[in-house]
Amino acid sequence: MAAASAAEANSVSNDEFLVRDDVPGLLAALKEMKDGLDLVRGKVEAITRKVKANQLPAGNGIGYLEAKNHMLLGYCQDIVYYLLRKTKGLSVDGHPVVRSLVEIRLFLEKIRPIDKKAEYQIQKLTNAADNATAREKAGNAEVKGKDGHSDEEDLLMYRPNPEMMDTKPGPDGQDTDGVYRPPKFMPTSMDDEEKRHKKDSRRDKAIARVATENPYIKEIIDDAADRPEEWKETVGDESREFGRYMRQREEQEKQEEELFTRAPVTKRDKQMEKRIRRQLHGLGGLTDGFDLGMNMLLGGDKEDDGGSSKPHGKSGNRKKHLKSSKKRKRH
Amino acid sequence: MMNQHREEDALRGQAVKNQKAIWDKTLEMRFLLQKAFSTSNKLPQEPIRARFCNHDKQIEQAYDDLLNSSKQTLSSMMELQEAMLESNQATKGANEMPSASNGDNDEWSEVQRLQTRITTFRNTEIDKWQRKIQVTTGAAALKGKLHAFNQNISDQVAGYMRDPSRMINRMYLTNSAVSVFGKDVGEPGTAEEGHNMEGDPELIDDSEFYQQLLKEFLESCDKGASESAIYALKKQQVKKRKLVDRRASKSRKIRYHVHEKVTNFMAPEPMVLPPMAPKLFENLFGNAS
Repeated sequence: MAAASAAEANSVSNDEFLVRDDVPGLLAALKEMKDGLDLVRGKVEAITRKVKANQLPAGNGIGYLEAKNHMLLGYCQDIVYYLLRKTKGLSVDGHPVVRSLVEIRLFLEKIRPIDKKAEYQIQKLTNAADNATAREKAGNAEVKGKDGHSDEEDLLMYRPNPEMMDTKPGPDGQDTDGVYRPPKFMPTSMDDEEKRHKKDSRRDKAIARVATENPYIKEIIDDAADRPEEWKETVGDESREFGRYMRQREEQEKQEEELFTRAPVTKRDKQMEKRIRRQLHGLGGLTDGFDLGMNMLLGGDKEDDGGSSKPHGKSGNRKKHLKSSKKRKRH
Repeated sequence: MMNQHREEDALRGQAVKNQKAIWDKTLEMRFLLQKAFSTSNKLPQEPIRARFCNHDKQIEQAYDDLLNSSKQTLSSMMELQEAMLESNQATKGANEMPSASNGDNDEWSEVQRLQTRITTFRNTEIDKWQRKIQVTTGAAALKGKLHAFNQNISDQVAGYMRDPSRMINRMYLTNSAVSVFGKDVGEPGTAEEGHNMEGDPELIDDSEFYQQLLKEFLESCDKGASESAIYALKKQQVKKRKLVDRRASKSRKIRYHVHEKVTNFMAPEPMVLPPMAPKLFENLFGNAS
């Protein structure tokens, strides 16, 4: 019995020690909390005075922001009530203040994506207010100075504006006055005889060019005209460039024979002849032994069907080669 | 016609600015309350509190001061909310409930009354803006799927609050984390140890949420400040170019490159040929002839 009483006295003494040790800390904590709450209360009262004096009118604002403000203010009230219960030394387990704190916290966390997405619209409205303030200042300056019209660019003019649409005209599409107005047509171009002639002549020229340049068409035409077949030195199809070159050389040869003069050969002509000779793929060797160029060789093949009008050569060497190179077939 | 829209947007923008100002002030309240909120978890509960008051008169006086300050702060906050409700037309329709005057729960009854008053308005506005944003971002295309996400936010929160124990348990602190005044934490014991591992229902903390709010506030401040700061710097900054003589290049000016002094330089002296030189040269090629 004495031992139990001694143990109890020892426990009470231990508690007394704990209380005595923690007195300064508790005193400091209580004072700190009181100062913090006094500061908060001062700020709250300042805002309340502003709201009551209507210095912060928010009636036209966004209801969503108003709801957010009310939730955060409710959260602060819950915290202060929690402090009150703690100060009284009462228990908070099972009290609805904890539920309320959790609920408001969940709301504020869940609406965070809405905040981020709605930021653009809020920013736009804020910019509109800033522009209005700047315009008022500019308007005051203009009134003091001169009557100038400010045509600053307003980004809000790009909204749809139903008032700007025209009123629909009458059902018949005519004005009420008696003046007749012809209907409008698309501009059209008339047929032209001269253009048609030009077009026809151009088509004829194209057909003639095809008849002379295209070997297939040329063969068909020659067969229809019953002309003799020509012997060609080349193997395979001739290229377009080769054909053009040959025709050019033939014309030149003909003119030289008629005028009895030799046209000067330019360096470009020589280069072209060399390149075309190289294109024969080995057949160039056939002309190695001849003194004259390839043009003379090929020029000798062509003769008129009307008669045998040979050129009058001044040298026997020329006649010799012409005779030996004659390879024309007769039907 | 254009001016009318401009005026409406200007008024609305001004109201939005005021709403944001009120939000910033309320955030400031929250930040200032955090210290007191953390310290309140250290306060002792009733048997030990009475012992502290009996032990020292200053403790009792400090407790009374803190109690009065708490009540006044709560009253001022409720007054602010009343003023906000009165000044806004949209929230005026919230139904007024008569105040139940209980002697014990008077403060909590008032807080509960105010929060019940704004519940309908809050749910309506949040759900409206959620639908608006879903339509804007095209999230409505997922209407057939993900039913849990497509619910209204108020419905989601209501679902959570049917069983809030999981959420509440996350906010508990442990006895070892907080040193409560007048409480001995040095008792070794298995049962006590097990009890300490779990959270104490008497200690509530929301540091995570507080830090989120603080981070968001700092981000928004940085964004606003950075834009204006960058713009101001760009305006003030005048490009400075080096002082260079532009005519020096392309043979417009004659340049003089001064080289070092020539040291140890001797002028050439005429060589004095010895008298035997002609004979020497004759003898060199003499044998050939």
